[in-house]
Amino acid sequence: MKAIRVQGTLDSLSTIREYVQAVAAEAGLNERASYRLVLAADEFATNIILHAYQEAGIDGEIEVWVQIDDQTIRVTLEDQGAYFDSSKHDVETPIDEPLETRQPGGWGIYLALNSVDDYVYKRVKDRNRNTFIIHRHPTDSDADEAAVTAK
Amino acid sequence: MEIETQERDGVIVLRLTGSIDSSSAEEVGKTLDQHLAANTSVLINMAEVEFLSSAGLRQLLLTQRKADEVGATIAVSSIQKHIAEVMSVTGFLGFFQTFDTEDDALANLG
Repeated sequence: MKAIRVQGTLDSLSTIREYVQAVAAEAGLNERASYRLVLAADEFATNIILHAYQEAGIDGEIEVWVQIDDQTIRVTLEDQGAYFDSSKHDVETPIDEPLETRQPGGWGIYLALNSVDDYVYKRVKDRNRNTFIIHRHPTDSDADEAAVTAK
Repeated sequence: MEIETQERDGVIVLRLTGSIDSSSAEEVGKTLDQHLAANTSVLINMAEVEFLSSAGLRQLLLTQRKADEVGATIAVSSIQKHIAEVMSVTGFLGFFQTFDTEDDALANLG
């Protein structure tokens, strides 16, 4: 699937989700695995837009591309914003924290990192390159979901 | 994001359609907040919400807190299963009264 390039603004999130949704369909992922992939893409892209671009006062684009093989689906988001490594911002998030004291924000990176199997950050010259990887599991394909449903 | 509002059996029903992400969460929050007042019941029907990011979780939490402050009751119905899973693993699901359908919710809230 061809790479896409979008503006680094929140309005671009739906375009990125649609692209990743199409990637998931092409890879034959079932609904659950597909949702995880789309969620991760949205959360990583949101971090790029808010932190690498908006907070830094930089305008730029996000390029998204994908590599699919028998074992893995790798989605890469690359931007020209300020240095931002999502893995360094993973917060301690006690999920049993009650409503009154629960931190309302900071869940994006938690969700992104917990939706994928691997995450790799690289600073390549003046660019952030975020790659997240889903390993294909036997239960991730449509065929296997159908088989489970049929039981 | 579209938000349809209807009063049913004394409950303000807000039917959300679309995705709740960082670009739409604030708008959703503003609309929800407009309906929060003492002794009112508000039902958020999420049957047509196909995507909810952490920005949406944050907004729902802030709305629930505001409802508690002003003495309003909030419930959420018809959450799609992948969204419910995310809300569950992050511990957010337990903050809300949830119902499988809008009618179930109204039977309990009305």
